[in-house]
Amino acid sequence: MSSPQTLSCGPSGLRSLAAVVVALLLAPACQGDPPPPPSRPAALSSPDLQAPLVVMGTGAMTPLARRLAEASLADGGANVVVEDSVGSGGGIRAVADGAIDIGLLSRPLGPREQGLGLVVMPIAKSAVVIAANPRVQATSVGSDELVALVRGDRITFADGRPAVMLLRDRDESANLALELQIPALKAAREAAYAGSRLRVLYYDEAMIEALSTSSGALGVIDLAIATTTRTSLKVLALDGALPSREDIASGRWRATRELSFVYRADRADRVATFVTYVRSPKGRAVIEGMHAVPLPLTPADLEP
Amino acid sequence: MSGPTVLTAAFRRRLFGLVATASLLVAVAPPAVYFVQKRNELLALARGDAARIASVVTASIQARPVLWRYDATKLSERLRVDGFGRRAVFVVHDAQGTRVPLDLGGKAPPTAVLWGRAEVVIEARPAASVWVGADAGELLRATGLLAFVSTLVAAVLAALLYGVPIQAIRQAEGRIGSLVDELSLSLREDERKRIARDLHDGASQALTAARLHLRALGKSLDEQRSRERLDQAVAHIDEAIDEVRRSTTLVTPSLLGEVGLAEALQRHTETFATAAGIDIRYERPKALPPLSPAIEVACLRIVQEALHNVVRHSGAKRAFVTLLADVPARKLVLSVRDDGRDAGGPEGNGLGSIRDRAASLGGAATFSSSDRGSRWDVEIPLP
Repeated sequence: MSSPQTLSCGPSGLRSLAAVVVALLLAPACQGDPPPPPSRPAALSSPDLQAPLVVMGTGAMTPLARRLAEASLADGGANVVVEDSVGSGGGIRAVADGAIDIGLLSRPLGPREQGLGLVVMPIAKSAVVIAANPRVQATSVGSDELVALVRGDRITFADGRPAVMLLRDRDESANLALELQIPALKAAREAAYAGSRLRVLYYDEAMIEALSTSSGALGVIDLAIATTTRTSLKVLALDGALPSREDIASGRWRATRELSFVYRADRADRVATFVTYVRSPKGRAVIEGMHAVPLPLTPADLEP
Repeated sequence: MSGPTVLTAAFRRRLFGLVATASLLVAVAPPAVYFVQKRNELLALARGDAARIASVVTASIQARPVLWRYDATKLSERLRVDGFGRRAVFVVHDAQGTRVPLDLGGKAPPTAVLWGRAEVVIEARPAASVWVGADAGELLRATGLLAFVSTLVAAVLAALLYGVPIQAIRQAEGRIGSLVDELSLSLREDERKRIARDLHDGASQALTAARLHLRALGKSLDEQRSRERLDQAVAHIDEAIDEVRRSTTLVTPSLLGEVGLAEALQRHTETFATAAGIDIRYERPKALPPLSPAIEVACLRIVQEALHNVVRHSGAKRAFVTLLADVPARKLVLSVRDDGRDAGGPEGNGLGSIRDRAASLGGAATFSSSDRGSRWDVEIPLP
């Protein structure tokens, strides 16, 4: 019987070779990118007292905020810079971090946001309406018709022309506001998300652009935005009715939402000038010019 | 050769290590290679996605250097449009390590995540970090299945690589052992023939010569008594000559080569019956298949030993010898029984010799005894 030494690679040698091969094969698997570390709290910023006020938040309030900023500056008031929209949530976080001075909200603070030591100041009450591409022939849309369009049961207006329903993202407060007027929309909207049949827009600028450029398009939007955007959108009557200022103020037009400023309590002094201007008669006039109702309401707001 | 298992045991030791190593490689290598390859593909995909997201984040940072981190909505929308919602997990941290809350569809994070990372560097300074977590669950499941299959294959392979050669070695070793035993038997028979020849040529001749001399001496003696004593001496010498002749006959089964086993047993039983003074009945087959010299010698010796022990231990008056060839079963059946007393166990009745002879040919021998007699039963497989 030949001795182990006569073999080219004895049993122990093959075992060692096997171990090396396995180790080499698995070695690359041991490398890789480590997972992300836990998130660090945002570093709070201190304002530059000489710099203009920075305002940012919901797109529903951005055009109004820009008008107010322009008017304030024209009247020798605070110098305010209004940034492009980042949504109510983005505005709240930016205010909490001290990155901006005033956030723009179109919804109430959420449970986690309420503990951040922020001050919410309602500024205006705005109507949510159905706007359409300017070339749409229809002037009105019924509640049932709208529900059917969202659910996908129909794809045309009452006049038979094609209708392209656009949706806002699920968390958009305009949806919730419209569903105060048409409760059946909620289920129809969820069905639309689940079926991925309709195009979903995630911010107001995108909705404006889509409504402006898509033939037959219609979607939910703030009345102030619909009437002040450079590209005029067509506001459709809902069940034959358009909201008047008095309808908005009184609540007869239920599809409304409250537009608010939010700021840190420790910056109250810094923002006071601008806030005071917004609440002044001139500021209220600007708000009314945007088809919104200034807050707080006055008895005059309730007069037809 | 020290035993029939030495070669097998040695081969087992050496083969085990080789087979174990080979089996380990077969079991481990395929799933390991698969895992590493697919993992690297998945990692490359994740890193690629992270790099693409990093480019989107870079554009956001360049547009809004301070406030980009608050525009998670737009960033999420961009990533959704680009199809990233189908991937697993996305994490973006700003330069301070604060997470930017992305919303890409609410997919539940997988249990096994493979992370790919990309850095956003603007003007040589880190501005953000992007992680993309790819779902590695399917990879782990597939690797596990492959490992299971390759382990089964390795086990089958090990059984074949180890069992088949060992079985062949064992059979060869058995055959070698049989050949060695036959050779040993043949050598013993050659030795016995030599001894018998020496006895015949030496002692027998000397005794015969002594007898002749004594006879001649007896003729020259006048006294009756001296002649009587001389006659007794001659008689003893005659007995010695007869004993030598019997021994050489017993030792040299030359008859087997001349007349075959069946006839040799016939003659032996007749001779033995006369010499021992017992009745021996012999049953023989009409014909026997060709038998090897080793089998014939072994059968003859077994009968000789058994009959010798019948006379020595049982006190029997009758003995029965049976030889049968069970061709369908491929075996030779030999039995020797008597009607004497209980002879006890086989140890004093030729156990070692008879069993060894049977075992050396791959057969078996059993002994039984009672007050009605004793019996040897031997089975030897036919070649």
